[in-house]
Amino acid sequence: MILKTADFLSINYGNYDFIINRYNIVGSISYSGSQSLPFTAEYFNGLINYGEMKIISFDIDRFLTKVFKLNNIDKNEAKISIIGDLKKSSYSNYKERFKEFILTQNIDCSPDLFSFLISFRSEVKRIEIRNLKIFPKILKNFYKNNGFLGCTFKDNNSIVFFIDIEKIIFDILLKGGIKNE
Amino acid sequence: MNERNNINSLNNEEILKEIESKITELKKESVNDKKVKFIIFYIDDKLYAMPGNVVQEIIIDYPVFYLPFVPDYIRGLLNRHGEPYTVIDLKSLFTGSELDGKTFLVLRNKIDNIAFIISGIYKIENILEDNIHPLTSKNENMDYFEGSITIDEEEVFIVNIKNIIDRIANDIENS
Repeated sequence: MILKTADFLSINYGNYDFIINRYNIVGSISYSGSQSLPFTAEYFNGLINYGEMKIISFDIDRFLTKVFKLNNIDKNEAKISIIGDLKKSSYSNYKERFKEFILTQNIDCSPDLFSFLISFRSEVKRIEIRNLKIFPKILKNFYKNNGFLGCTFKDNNSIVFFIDIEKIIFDILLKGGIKNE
Repeated sequence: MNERNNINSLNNEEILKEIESKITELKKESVNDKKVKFIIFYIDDKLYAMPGNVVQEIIIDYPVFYLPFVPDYIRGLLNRHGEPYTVIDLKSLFTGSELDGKTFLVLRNKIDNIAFIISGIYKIENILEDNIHPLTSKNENMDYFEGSITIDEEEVFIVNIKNIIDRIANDIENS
């Protein structure tokens, strides 16, 4: 029997881990600052340089620590930017809507790539799919629509949430969560 | 020897008759007097009841992992044999204040993976069906209950699981 496994980027915050499917991650670079955007949107920290391109950047650390009320994070920790590719996205409409968005906002950035900022408390892990659990029925669809797909437990005192990073980033960006400067 | 050792002792024949009469009594009871098992539990100092057939187990002192974006009475998830269970705080649902409790009533998972956080268990009691009273009051909070029973001379409301789950599902949809 072949066990189905997948590689995940795992980010640790004490008793809470968050895993992201590595499928549409195409690279990473050390974070050394960002340029500002022409709008403010919670958790978006600007544009970063990736080779000759500029890419929109989402601070996943800030998002997760705020929504999960996590407080064991060192704000001075070194960070890395993980690069994702929208061309590999399972959400066919995000690519078109993002392209329209950057045109209307007049942002000079790649329409195909996005990035999210994490600290160095992260690693790539291979996880057996059968160990991941869907949320209880009463929560399942709600959390799926909000970018949280399931969970598992490392031990009795810790939990691992499986998150859909594209859903989180692009729902916040494209569903009106921005204020123009 | 058939001698009696004292005036109150019974011979074997009499003992057997006594046993058989008890069995007959018990059988009559079970045919005519249907009983329902209830778990009587505390939320703070108030007693509530839940039908025993919906409760899988009672567990103590499990960590609850916080969940964002949902009403406060959904306290989070707990890990039961590797499966996530939604933890519901009935005190928070009824009154808006969080319960400081470490005991959980875990429901049978043919309903859903749900556990209620409570203060503690008072007792488990079999109640005659005839002694389960319908609700007479019609105020909003009574939607959470499906009747009442009398335990140690106190009226104890029976939690209506279905209505509670429906309320939660509705609140989550509107979150």
